[in-house]
Amino acid sequence: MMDIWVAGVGEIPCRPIYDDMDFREMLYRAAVKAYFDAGITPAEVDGVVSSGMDFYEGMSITDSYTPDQVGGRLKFNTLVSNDALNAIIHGCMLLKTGHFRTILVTAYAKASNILNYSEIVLNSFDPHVIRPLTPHFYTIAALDARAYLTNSGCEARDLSLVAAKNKRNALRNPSAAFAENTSVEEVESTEVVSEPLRRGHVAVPCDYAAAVLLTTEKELGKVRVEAFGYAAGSYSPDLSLKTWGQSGWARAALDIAFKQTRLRQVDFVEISEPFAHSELMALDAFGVIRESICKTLRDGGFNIDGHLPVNPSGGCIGMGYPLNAAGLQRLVQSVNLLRTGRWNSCLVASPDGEVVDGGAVVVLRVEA
Amino acid sequence: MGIESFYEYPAGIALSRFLEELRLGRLVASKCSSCGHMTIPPRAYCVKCYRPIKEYQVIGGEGRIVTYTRSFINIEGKPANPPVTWVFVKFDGVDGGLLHLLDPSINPQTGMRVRPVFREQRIGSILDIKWFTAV
Repeated sequence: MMDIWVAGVGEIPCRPIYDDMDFREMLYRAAVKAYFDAGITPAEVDGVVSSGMDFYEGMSITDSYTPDQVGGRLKFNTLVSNDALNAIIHGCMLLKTGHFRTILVTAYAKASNILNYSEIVLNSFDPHVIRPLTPHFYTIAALDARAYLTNSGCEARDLSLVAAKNKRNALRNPSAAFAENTSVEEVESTEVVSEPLRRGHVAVPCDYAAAVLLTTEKELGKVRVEAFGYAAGSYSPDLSLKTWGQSGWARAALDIAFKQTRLRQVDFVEISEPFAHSELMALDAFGVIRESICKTLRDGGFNIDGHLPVNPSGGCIGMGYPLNAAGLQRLVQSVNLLRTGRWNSCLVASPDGEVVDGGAVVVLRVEA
Repeated sequence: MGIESFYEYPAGIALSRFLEELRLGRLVASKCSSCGHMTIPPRAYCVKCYRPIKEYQVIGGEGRIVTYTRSFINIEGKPANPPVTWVFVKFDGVDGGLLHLLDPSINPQTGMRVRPVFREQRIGSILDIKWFTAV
């Protein structure tokens, strides 16, 4: 089996808005950092996989906008829709064909360009059964949150525990835009947007760009890509077949990854959480924690000094939610955290959006 | 600069039947003649055994709330005044279900039995259901 490594990562910090740069300039800066980190030049890259959603960007065929600013001109180039962790998986699969030595994976979010995000998200639903009702996606997420709390025995306050943890974790992360030394009580005092969700439980969209260099060359590798998996869950655009309160994709994706590695325990988890309950739902679905999720959360088990830190980077609630780039945001944070020497392995996970039941996992490891 | 985009979506065979039955004030599910599996909104294929579906069955319309939320924002993210209660309803013996509004006079609970209230003027739209109310 061919080994795959992360050779280098680059990002520009999350911000509510980059009004001094367009997305090309943001991507350029992230890619330059990734090349510098890897110690290679664009000439040594065989291809580019970009994550993008024309839907968010308001432009058609956005992959044709990508190669120039990331050093991919006249090279293999493809666009992968859905979350950017899926683009990482596509990069890994390209490398495993044996026809490529080094692949650059890129993603960005220019959420500040989108003036009516909730209406854009509405367009992802069935035009006959859902769109005429005009639900805000917070409403659909709240239906999921309610079902999860009912099924799991967790309480609405547990969502505030997640949000406060992640905002505090983000204080250590210079790339975070929404770090805050906040308390559960302060999150609990934020307005209710759609019961049981409060404003403080929602990750705020942000501007962000990241680039990751994947390689089959061990001498370039910083962190090993141990395994990966992707799965669609029980989602349907009319929401009729959705299993409310469950992340059906999570365990299915993890089972695919488990076929590629004997590793069954990791030192931390990074998971994109557009909402506080997204983190808990996915952790529950992974089925790798013996105790109940809410008890572990309340006991501090997911804190940065707990037995399984979850989102030590601050997650999307602490850093900002860069739409489809969230998966690459998680992967870059994971690589940076592994390289501190404090941890040796991690699970990276990212759903395909705020309310979609589908997503990807990647297992990373540093060689002892 | 803004560019408006205009689309027209044919509902397809199964969903057209659903919308037509809504116009008549009824709910219809697809029924697989091979495995008997029923789905609402109806599908042209069976989600269980993947056979084509040509059979549809009007259902009673009584169901139960699977999950609910009282929402304080509208689609633009502005305050919803008054707040609106949303429910996802599943129907007895039928896979799938419907997202819709709940009668504002009802205090929702998971598992509560509800039925659709149809508007007097109907056009073949999901909005022909005014809301769901307690049985």
